[in-house]
Amino acid sequence: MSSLTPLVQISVTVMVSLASLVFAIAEGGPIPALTVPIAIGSLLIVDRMRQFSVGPMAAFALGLMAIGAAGIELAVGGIEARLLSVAHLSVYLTWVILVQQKDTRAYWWLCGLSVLQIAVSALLASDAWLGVVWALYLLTAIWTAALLSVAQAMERISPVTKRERNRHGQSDGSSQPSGSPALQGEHAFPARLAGSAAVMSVLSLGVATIFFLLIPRVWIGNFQLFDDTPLPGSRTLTGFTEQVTLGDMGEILESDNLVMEFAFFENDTGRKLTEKDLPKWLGTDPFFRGALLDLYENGRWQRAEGFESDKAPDFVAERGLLRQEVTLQPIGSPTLFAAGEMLAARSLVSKENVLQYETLRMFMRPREAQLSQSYQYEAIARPEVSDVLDDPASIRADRFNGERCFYEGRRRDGPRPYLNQRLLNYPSNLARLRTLSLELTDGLTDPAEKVDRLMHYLKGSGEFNYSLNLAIEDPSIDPVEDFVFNRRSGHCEYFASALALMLRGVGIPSRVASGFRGGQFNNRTERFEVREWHAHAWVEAFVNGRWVTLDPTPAGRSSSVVEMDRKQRSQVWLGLAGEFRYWWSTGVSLSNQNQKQFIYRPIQSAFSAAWESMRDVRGTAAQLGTTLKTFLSDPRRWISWQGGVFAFVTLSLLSGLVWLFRKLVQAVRRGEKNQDALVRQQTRVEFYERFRRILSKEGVRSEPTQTAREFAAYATAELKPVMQTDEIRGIPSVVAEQFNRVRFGHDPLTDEEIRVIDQSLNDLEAGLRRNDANPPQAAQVT
Amino acid sequence: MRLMSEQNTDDRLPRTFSTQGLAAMMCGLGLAAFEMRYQFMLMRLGLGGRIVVMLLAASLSIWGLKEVIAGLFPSLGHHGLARHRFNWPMSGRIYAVIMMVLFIGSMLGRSNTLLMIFCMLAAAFVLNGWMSFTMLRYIDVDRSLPPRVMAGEPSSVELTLRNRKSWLSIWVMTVHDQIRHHADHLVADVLFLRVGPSSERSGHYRMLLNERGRYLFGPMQVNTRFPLGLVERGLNLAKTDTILVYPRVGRLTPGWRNQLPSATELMQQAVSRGGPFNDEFHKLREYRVGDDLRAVHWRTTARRNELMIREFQESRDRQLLFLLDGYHRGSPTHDERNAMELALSFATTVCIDHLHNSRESPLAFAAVGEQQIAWESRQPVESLLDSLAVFEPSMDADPKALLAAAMDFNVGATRTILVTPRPVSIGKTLAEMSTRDELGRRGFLQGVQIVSMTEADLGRFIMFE
Repeated sequence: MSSLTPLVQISVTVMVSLASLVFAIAEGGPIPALTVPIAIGSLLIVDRMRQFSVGPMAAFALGLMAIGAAGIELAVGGIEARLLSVAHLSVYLTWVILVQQKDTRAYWWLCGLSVLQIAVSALLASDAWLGVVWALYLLTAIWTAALLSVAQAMERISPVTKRERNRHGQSDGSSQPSGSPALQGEHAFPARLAGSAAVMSVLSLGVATIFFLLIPRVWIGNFQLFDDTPLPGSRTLTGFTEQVTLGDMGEILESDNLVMEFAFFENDTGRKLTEKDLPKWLGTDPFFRGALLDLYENGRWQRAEGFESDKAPDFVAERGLLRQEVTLQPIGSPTLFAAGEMLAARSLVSKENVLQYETLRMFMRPREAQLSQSYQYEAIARPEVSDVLDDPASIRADRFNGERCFYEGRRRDGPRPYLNQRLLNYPSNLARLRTLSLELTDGLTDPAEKVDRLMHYLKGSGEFNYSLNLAIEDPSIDPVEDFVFNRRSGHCEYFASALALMLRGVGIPSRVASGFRGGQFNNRTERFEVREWHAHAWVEAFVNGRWVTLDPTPAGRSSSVVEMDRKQRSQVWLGLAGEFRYWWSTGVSLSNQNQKQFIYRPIQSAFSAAWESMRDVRGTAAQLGTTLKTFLSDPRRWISWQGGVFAFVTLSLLSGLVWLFRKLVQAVRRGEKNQDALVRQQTRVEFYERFRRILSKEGVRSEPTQTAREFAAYATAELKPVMQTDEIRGIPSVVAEQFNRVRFGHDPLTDEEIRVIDQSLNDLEAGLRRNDANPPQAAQVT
Repeated sequence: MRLMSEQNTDDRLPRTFSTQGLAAMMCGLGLAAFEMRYQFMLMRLGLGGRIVVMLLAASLSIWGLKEVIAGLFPSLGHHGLARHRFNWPMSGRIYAVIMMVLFIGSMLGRSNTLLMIFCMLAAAFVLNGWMSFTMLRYIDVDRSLPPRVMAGEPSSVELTLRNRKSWLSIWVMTVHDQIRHHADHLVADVLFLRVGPSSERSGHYRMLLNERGRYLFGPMQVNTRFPLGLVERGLNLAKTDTILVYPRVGRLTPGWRNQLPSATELMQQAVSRGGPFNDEFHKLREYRVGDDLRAVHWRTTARRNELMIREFQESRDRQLLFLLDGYHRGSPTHDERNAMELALSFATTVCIDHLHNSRESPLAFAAVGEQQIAWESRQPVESLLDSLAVFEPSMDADPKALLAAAMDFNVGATRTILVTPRPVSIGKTLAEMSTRDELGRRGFLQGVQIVSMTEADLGRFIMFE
């Protein structure tokens, strides 16, 4: 190739390694990651040191093996495995190409295969980090492609002429070793090329964003690449699961990944709620209720089977409700969340139905929904203030006030098997915990007092601490008993589990609710953000005919979450990361409806407004003048974004005016120059061209190498026999002198001189015509 | 032979059929038909969606039609319709296939993340096309080449690429030049890695033109695949030039020298005495024993106080008349064509050698073929070489016309050489003319030295290095 070869090799290695790493992380498997050591080894051993390479036949055999391996994966796996088999084939082929001696075409193939791997990673994951890595990959790919195009151009170029391909393509001349002649003296070329590639990458990202926003989401058919089951690489851990396994949440509670965003609206008026409005509606620490878990076995809470779902209503005729637009990140669960008691819900991104489990009052997406993408829905809920239940003292004061409970259920009369059987189901191996519960509530008959006592025991007694330390002291007993009797510290799942079981132990139906509690209001987006560290579990108990929400987790959890929220607000980097994640999740969940609402209609409105402004020129000018006057009269606004826009527009206009002025000056000068040239050309043609025509008729033609004087002398010598007089013989030299004066001396002839020249040419023509019968003996070159 | 000229340049450009253009037309028409039949976008995005699709389809169809027409009628390329070239290399085609697969996959799978990848690829692709197209705007290419060269001698052509844009550099641009001749078609490329805004760079290519005649340079094409190598855009530049390639000049062999009259060896002998042939003053030198005292230059002798002798140079070389019979049979063989080219090289070499070595000794040349050549050394030598460069043999070459042209020359002592492919016939003609006394006082034609126009005979007199 050329002297750029080492750069090309390194760039391709980096690009291929990056693509395979992204693929490996997205897949969660080790196979694609093996590309990295192979690529580095190939760079060193095959490309640079040239110690080893695989020949064509061996590579062919390896390719067949790769196809066979991928075929086996294709034959035995499900749909994900089939997709992965194709992706793995691209990885295998990458390896095969890497271990060979490579030319430009091989490098192009490596580029293509890396693009395929990046594409597959887009199907396997949708996390925000992918956006950053893809941008990095784009930069690397553009740089590599630019290098390859340069190298390819240098390969095609030969400094000597070549015959056309149909003439065997052999070199016509003495082909000389060319090396890289184009790069000679271009030491700064790679650096300049890198700068150009960087600019190109930024521009590409910008254009790609525009494409992404404007391409209509006209989904074809109703195919899904994946079913509900998350792929191995698509981590959807958010702290929320439909099955709570004690001990799983610790890592989650330290993660700041965004889970949900809420925009709250007053359902009656449509008014969007601000940060100040929210505490009045939801309290300072709202619950976002998700799954309800009623079956406990061996340290795991899950939902019992057998519930029937029905299509959820999307409208409720009730006043005082809260409408919530929710963007839910992919969490691998169809469960939907809302602040308050959700009464109705509908999808905002598709015609997908939302299901409601009537018995449980849970709202979920259908099982066939695609859970690997973010989801937007609208929930209508009845807001309740729930934070009073956190404080045992408050519980005593206002306990079970129906108006202040988080969730008040009203059940039909009659047998209640769900309440009386399922929610009182107590594991037989927790006898010690039941004994403790009975001891604590000994002498109490009112279920509400029993609840109060048990809540106080876990939350207010000071015997239990909030901790993310998950060390089990006695693995031989149930985790809940280990928590209550040994460790006495744990996170929300332990507290909720303990309270729910203790309540059941004293005959109060209870269950564990899993969801999120708390969040931050983002003033920029005016959305309430819920992150993974807000994951929470609490208890719902049926006490005295009503459902009440109980949160037995000590204040340590709130402190921890509040501290993390504070950090999130204070650290710029986390703030930026959060911003990026927000926009990423918005993009990943972009739907046709979103496009119409946020892109197409605003553009249409902007055009309409611009059109109206153009039609009303006078009004627009007056408004512009008023705005300008207001701006200029208020120096405080100069240092603001408005000042920046004003400066930009003003400088742009000035630049445009200067550019226009320069163009006008250039055009005027060019016109004058052309006019001069035209005049000079016409002056020359008028008599000298006639002189040449006259002589040409006699067979005397000027040669390209002859000056006017030489031509005159030559003509005089050639036509000497036919030039009768000395006057005529002298005409050519006179014409030549006058021509030089006009053509090169820029000294136009006077009218008298032109008349004389014309007369001389007439004489010459007449003199030669008279001798036509006796032509000159000059040699004629025909 | 059909002489090439700038007027018929365009007709010689090869016609091609643009499959890419046809594919684009079919895609555009297919898209329009699909939308009209199934109302795909109309149902989803309303009338705006349909308008966008129809505009896209129309653009594709029109562009494809333009490419097809430009390929079939290449002369239109210089008049605006197909001034801009488009080529889609294999890497770009594979890239486009990957893009389409990703787009369809994202639409089928309702995957915004896959659509993001598609958008990144599409943006890079579009920017590639935009940048290469923009780089080709406001550029000029000038070609600088010698007007005449000798066949078989290396020469170079300089190309100057001027970037008249004030803000964008030109990157990795290839200037493709064509050099055409009735017997040959050469191509050359010059790579310009970078030309900054409002600046120019020069590059050159070397060439070795082996055939005599007029070579036509151009039209040129400026191509670039920068930055990603996915799309090649080009510009047709109708800048044509011609170069005249003279017959190859060889070296006369000792066999040729031996054929010269003995006087030639004295040609440049300087002598101190005057005589009928000592017509050229050479220099002054000191007296030597034996010098003619009439040659003493007395004024210089007095000034230097020693005898100084005027020395003259003898110039008694005879005039050379070279006659070339450009006759060929209806369909000359390869050997005959080679012999004709060899004869032209021989003629050129002899004439140049004579002019170099014989100074004022006259030279005359006459030839018959498709054209007649009659040349004397009073005329510029370029005119003879120009004529020889484009000389073509003919089956109608009349030997009498050749002899008549020779007799027109005003000659004294003349050495006449006639190179002909038909020596017997010419010899008979000369004999007949002599018998009929048609040669008149032009008796020099009776002693003409006839050289047969065969590679073997001519090879005795000329050789090439």
